[in-house]
Amino acid sequence: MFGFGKKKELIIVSPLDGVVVPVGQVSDQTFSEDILGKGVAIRPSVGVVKAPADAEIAMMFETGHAVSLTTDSGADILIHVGLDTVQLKGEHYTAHKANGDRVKTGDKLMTFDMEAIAAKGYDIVTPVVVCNPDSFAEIRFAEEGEIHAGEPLIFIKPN
Amino acid sequence: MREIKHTIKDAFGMHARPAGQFVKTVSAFKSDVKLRTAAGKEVDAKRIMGVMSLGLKQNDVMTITFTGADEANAATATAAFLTENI
Repeated sequence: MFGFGKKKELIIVSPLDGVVVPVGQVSDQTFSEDILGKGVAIRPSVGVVKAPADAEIAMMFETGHAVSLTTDSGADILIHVGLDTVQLKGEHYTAHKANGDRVKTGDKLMTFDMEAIAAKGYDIVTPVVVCNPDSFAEIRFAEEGEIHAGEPLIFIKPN
Repeated sequence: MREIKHTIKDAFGMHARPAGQFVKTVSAFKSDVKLRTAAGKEVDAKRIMGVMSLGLKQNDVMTITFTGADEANAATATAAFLTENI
């Protein structure tokens, strides 16, 4: 419209194979109340987290249960594998990248043992959050349902 | 400018939840807020990614500075929040 809205929509792809669920259904207020930003969640079916965009690793948590990235398009993304899983202190998680590493979409970031984590009573649902939503005009998410790593998950309209 | 110091008590350090709550607390104020580690690394305290990237752990000392019209209220509220939660 009159030259507005021509900027290309940015797409963040799914870091996991699994099922998309609304973040409002996640039983952790940190995510369901958007305290860390605007997000969506995935119930994983395979224990591999892949880079959701070309990006730099801002923070690979020592415990390997979460990672934050700044994408080349300027989105701050947090992937938090499971709820309250900081308490596992890294057990059942393996980090494959380190702080400051450059990654390409699809690069393996972490692996985790889904069965072992679930067996200890943790919910493995994985919120994927845009931590700087105020930097963008609009953020939308893929609809509920099955998704594979590499398929579009978050649609970001630049300002 | 106001400055407060806080020693982290949370056994898991400044992980996602406390980082989010901390950023939400300081973002309620107009003041410019900076968070600095004992080693001197400083970030914008209103940016989640910056706060998490410091990797603050239990017993680490964090210094927070507030600059702006509501700096006194911001410092008081933040100090109360930290004492209670992190």
